Parts: sequence; C-alpha cells; structure tokens
Amino acid sequence: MLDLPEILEMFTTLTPYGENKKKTLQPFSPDQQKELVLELAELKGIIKFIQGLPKGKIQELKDLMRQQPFIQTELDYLKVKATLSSPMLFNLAKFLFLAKEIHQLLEAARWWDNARIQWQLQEEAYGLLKITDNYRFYLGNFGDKDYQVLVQEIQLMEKELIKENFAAVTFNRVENLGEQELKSKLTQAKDKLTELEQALLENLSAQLAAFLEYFAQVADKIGRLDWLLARGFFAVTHGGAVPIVSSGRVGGKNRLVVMDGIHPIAQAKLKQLGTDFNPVSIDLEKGVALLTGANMGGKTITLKTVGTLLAMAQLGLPVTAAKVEFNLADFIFFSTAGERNPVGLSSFGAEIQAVNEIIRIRDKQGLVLLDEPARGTNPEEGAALAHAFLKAFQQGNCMVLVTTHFDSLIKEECFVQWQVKGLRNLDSLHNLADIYQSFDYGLEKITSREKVPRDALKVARLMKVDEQVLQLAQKYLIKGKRRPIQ
Amino acid sequence: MFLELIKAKGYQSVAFTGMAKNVGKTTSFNYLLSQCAREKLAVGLASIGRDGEKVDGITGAAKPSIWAPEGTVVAAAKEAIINSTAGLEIIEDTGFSGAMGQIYLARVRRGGEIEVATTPSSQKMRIIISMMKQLGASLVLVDGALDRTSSAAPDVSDCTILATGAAVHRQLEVVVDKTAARAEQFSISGVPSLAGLIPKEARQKIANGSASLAVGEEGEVAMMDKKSLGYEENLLELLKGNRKIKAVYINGAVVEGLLQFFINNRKILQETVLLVRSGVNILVNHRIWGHYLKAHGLIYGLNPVNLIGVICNPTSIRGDGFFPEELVDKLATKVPGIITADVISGIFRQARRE
Repeated sequence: MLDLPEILEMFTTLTPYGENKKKTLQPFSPDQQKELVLELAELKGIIKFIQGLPKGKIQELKDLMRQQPFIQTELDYLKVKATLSSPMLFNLAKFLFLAKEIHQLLEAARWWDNARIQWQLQEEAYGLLKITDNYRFYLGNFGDKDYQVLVQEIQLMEKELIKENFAAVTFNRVENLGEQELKSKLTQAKDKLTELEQALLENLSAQLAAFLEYFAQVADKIGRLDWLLARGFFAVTHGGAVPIVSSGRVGGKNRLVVMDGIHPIAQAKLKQLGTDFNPVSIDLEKGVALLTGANMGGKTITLKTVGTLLAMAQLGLPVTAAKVEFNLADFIFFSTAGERNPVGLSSFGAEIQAVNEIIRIRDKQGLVLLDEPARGTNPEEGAALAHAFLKAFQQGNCMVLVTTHFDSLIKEECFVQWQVKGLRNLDSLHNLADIYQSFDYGLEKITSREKVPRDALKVARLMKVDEQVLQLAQKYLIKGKRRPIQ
Repeated sequence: MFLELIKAKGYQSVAFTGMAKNVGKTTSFNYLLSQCAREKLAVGLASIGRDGEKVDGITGAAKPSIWAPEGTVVAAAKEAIINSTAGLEIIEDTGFSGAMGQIYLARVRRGGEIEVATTPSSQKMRIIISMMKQLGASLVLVDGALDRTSSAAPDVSDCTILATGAAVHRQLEVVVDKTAARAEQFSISGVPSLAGLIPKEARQKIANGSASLAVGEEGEVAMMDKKSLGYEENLLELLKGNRKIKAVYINGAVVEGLLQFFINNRKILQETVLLVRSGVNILVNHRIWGHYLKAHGLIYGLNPVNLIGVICNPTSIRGDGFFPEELVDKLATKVPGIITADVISGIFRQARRE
C-alpha cells in the first residue's frame, strides 16, 4: 500500500552482497533508535563523499563493485573443510583482489574513517593465494620443485608424441611399440601429476579455512558498503534528504514533521504524464488530525506520502522531502477504501475489522492513516462510528491522520484539522483542465471549525456529468436543506 | 594453406561448421589449431551452439577431443576446467554461465585436452571473442554447432570453414552436390543497398531481429507472422490483393516450402528480392536449391558469410568411404575459388573460378 517494493527497486545495488542487504531490509524498531541514528549519520557521510568524488572515480568504484564475485559457495566449502577447486580459488582470489582495490580507492578518497564498514587487509590471506597485481590463478604456481620437474617431463614426452602428427593425441589408430611405451609412461606421469595437484588443492584449502571468518567479514562489509552507496546515489540523483530522528520523546509525545514531501512513485508516474507532484508539508503529533478538502484534492496521496516517508525514514533510506523529522513508530497502519480486501466481507466489514485490531494497540506509538473511514455504510451511522473510533484513538498515543467528508467530525474540538487549499475561485473554472491548472494541493491548518468544503456538484459539472442528473442532485440537496451551489 | 590465407587477409576469427555429424569438424578444428601452435600464434578457442557430447549419441564412437597447446586461451566452464588434463591458468570470469557452470577464460600453461565451453548466443560469443583478443589472442577459433537454426558461428566470425565428408551420404556425387549447394548458400552476396530496398522503420525492425516482413512497391510494409500462417500463405494473401512485392525479408530459417513458392510463382515474383539473415539460415536440399537458383535466384544475405575453405573426411563412421583424392578433386571443381582439403591425407586443392 505504501509502494515500498517499487521504491526499493529505485535503489540500485551492484553486488550480490548489497542485493542481499536490500532484500533482508527491516525497519528499525523504537528500541533501535541509537543504531538508526548511526545509520543515518553514515548515510549523510556517504552522500557528502559521493558529491565530492570526481565522476571518473565514481565510475571506477562502481566498476570494481560490479565485478565482485559471489563467494558464498566457497565460504560454505571452507566451513566444512572441503577442498576448493581451481575455479573456486580463482573466485576467492578475484574477490580479495577487488576488495583491496576498493579499500585503496576509498582510502585515497579519504572516506575510510567509517569504522563500521572499514575492513582490514590481511596480507597473509593474499600471500596464500599469491595475489599480486592481478587475480589470475594457476595451480602450477603452488607446486614445489618435484612438481615442476614432473611437469617438464610430461611436456617433453608430449612433444615427442605429437612431433609428427597432431592426430596422435586425438585419434585411436594403430601405434608403433615406441609410441605405445611412451604413451604408457605419459599416462603414469599424468596420474602422478593429478595426485600431486589434488594434494596441492587440499593443502591450500586447509590453510585458507583459517581465514573463513575474515572472508565472511569482508563480504558482509562489502554488502553494507554497496547498500550504503545505493542509498547515497539515490539521494544524490533524486534530491533526497537524510531524515532526522527527533531527540527523544518528551512524555511519550509522538511527532512527525514533513516538509515538501514527495511520493517517489507517484512523482515518476506524473512526470510521464508531463506534470509535477505537489509536495506535502504537514506537522503531526499524538492525537487525531483530520484532513479535509475538495474531491480530487490529493488527500489520499497525502496520506500515502506521509506513511511512505515515515517508512522510508525508519528503514534508514533517504527521504524524498526537504525535511522529515520523526520519532520511531511502533507501527504504521494504512486503511484506504480503494485497497480493502472484500473477500468474504463487505468493504465496510473488512475496514471495521482492521481498524478494530489497531484500536487495541492504540497505546503504542504508531502512525494510523485512515482514508474516509466508514464510507461504506449509511452516512448517519458511518459518521457516528468514525467519530467513536477517532475518540478512542485520541485517548491513545498514536498519531492519526484521517481524510473525511463528515461534518460531525470537524465539530470535535480535540481533533486538529488540516485542509487541502483546493479550488479557490470555483466560478472562474470552466473545465477539467482548469481544475488541474488552478488546484492548490497545499495543506493549511484550520482553526475555525468550518464545515467540510462543498464543491462536489461543481466538480461534477466541470467533468461534464449529464445536466439532467446534476439538476436532480441539486433538487435533492435543497430538499435535504443544504445550501445550493452557486 | 588455410593459415597462410587467414594471416594474409588479417582475419581474427574463424568458425568451423559441419554438414553433418562426424564429418570431421572437430578434426578440422584441431588441424588448424596445430598449425597455429607450430607457428607459435596465440590462439583463442570458443564454441557456439549445442553440440558438445564426448561420445557420439547415436553411434557411441568416441569423438576426438580438442587438444589445446600451451599458450592457447580457452573459454571453459567450471566443470570442464576441473576435468581438463591441461594445466590452466584462470584469467577471467566471462560473466556467463552454461550447463557446466560459470564460464571462464583460461590460458593453457601446459597442453592437454579440454572441453571448450559452448554458448548458444551470438551476442555472448562476440563478447567472448573480444575478451580473448584483449588477452592477446591473434586468432580465435570458434567450433560451430550442427544445429543451423540456432545462432551460428559464421554470424560471429571473420571467416568460415565448412566440414563435409562421407558421413553426409554413401554416394560421393551426392556428398559433392550437397556440399556445393551449402557452400553456395553460404556465399550468397550481401544486399547491394538495404536503404534502397527497405523503408527506415522496417530496417529498424530487422535490426531488432523482431520479425519477417514484405515490402510493397510503394514502400508499404506488411509484417509476416509465421505462427498464424506460413510465409507462403502470407505472401499469397499479399499477391491476392494484386500488390507487387518489392522485397521479402525472412528473419529465421528459409525452408523448401518458401523457395518452392518462388519457383512456382517465378513470373509474378521475378523482380522480388528475397533477403535472408544469412546464408547459414537456408535449410534447403541441393535439388530445390538448384531449381530455385534457375527460376529466381534474386537472394541476398544481411550478414554475408565469408567461406574460405572446405575440409573433407573421406571415411565415414559406418566404416565405408571414398578415395581421398577423388573426393577432394570433385569438391574443388564444384566449389571453385576456395581451398578444398583432406587435412589427414594432406591433399589440398583450389580450382579457379570460371
């Protein structure tokens, strides 16, 4: 509902380790506030680092990260003390080589003061794999003198055998006695070589097993670096800000401040249509805040944006806003008429069930977002139910943001009211295009208890609803003793 | 002779493709490889397609493996590296994987047998060839698949050698005729002016490899969907509307039915150009091919194949065969202008074109 999977797709990781970090991402809970503060400080640091790094170095860093092989299989083998094959040793060598290159690049760019991600270079491990200025792996380099002598003997025998005809090593054909003896000697020598090479692999694997913890640590840190870079690049590309954790909760007070917040997915979709997302600014505290305004005023997307930005902040992501200041929430609940699951229950039934679950935990520090609660039933009882639920929430510790058209809720003094500024001069609007052009999606806090805005029929007329239908609606309105439209 | 020609022309890659199973394609491959080793030429080895079994699946006879001399760069899968008798220095990970695991580039430090990794994709093969050149390979040998409907080695290499032999047919004349037809198909010319024939939007579709199409006299383009109708039915529908077809492009395999349609409708289609992706995609027997060339023959390839030679194996897996010299002579006469050879017997010919 908050489009978090789609939002996470916008963060690009370069290594399988970083991708794993992204896939296993969990929000920080309130008792992990200290860790989140550290995480966000790290994020701030990487953004600054990326902004200061020359383009060429950025590309170099990305290329190094992209080339990192995934060595989980190799680590599993080392864990059970199994023997690694040559390709696996190559993978390990390449992993270590690239880790060193990344280390050196970050050190030279002076970003290496972050103790949480920094890893040391254990030169002994590099020495074991004979990693110098490349990561090529040849088992023959690990053989002793006897091994090298045996290899030379084999090479001489092979040269002798294929001297005359290349087919000698590729075809079965009638051979002379000399060839047969040579072939037999060659086979024996090769069998011995295979045994020696197997011993080399076993020995090398056993020695590398002592560094298992180190390899796993480096892999984990590369994953964290990758995920940090992904978030940093997102912030730089999309103009994201580092969210601010409020300095403690005073007397259990819940708080969320959003300045110029943007829902990144909605923004992307609007851009495709050639238009812009109107930023949302709102300041919420413990208790109920009503959000009223004209139809099509963006109230639902405001709810979504607020919820999404808090979720992003609590996941340690940069937020698409000028500022988000928040306390860590115990939960975020979002109920919208469009997304209720009616299976087995009416839309109303499903909503009531869900809200009732949340009422039970209203003493926790949660964010509750309700989109036109109790819309799915008759207005009289709907308004009464909604009023009752909200009064119950008001007793708890949650921040509750509610969109509604019910007048009775606005009369409740203890509820804060925000309103979409909306359409100011209805008479000057003549069609749908005028609405889009003139609509002010900004929010304002309302102090005087006005009724909810009345412009549904005007909007319907601008949308070219049948004139007969509109006139009938006007008659019903007057009959219901509501003021007529101008 | 082959190597001299390759060096003289500056070719950097050569593909081997076969007329049938067990014609000696891999033997031809090994032959050129040994020539390169003799001249100490740095060589890369790759393989495209799906053929890769160690033992012939039908006859059970052992297939000759590739002997990689010292200094060769090979594309090899993880399992192949482990099982190889060669001493291999693993240099790089290609980023691709196959049935036998991740594919690496390795340099042979000690000669031995190796199973070269097979990739079915032309695009990946081009990347592998490029990587091998960067590692110092002066010439890349690409062992091609038998399956001609898949991506073919001739699409990715500078030149091609065709392998044929007694395994193709019991009768020598049939072997010669089939091989000559195949060589002719490979050698169809490149289209003189694609822009003059095909409108821009259609050229884009062709470049994307998306579909086959027909172009009318006024430049109107009709896509041909083979799933609902065969190409012949598609063309018939167009002709029914009394429209003249300027050109037909076939994205995939060109089979007998289509050429037979051109033969049968030669009067209406006499000026219609038949454009194919490559001569490799023509899967037509030599008789129909011969008839088609006489009746129509206005056929071009987008990607011309540079056929530089035919290598033949006079012995078949059945145990029978031909006289080596007779086979080579007859092939040389029927396929003039290129080298024809039996490399095991050491017989080389090149007949002049008339």
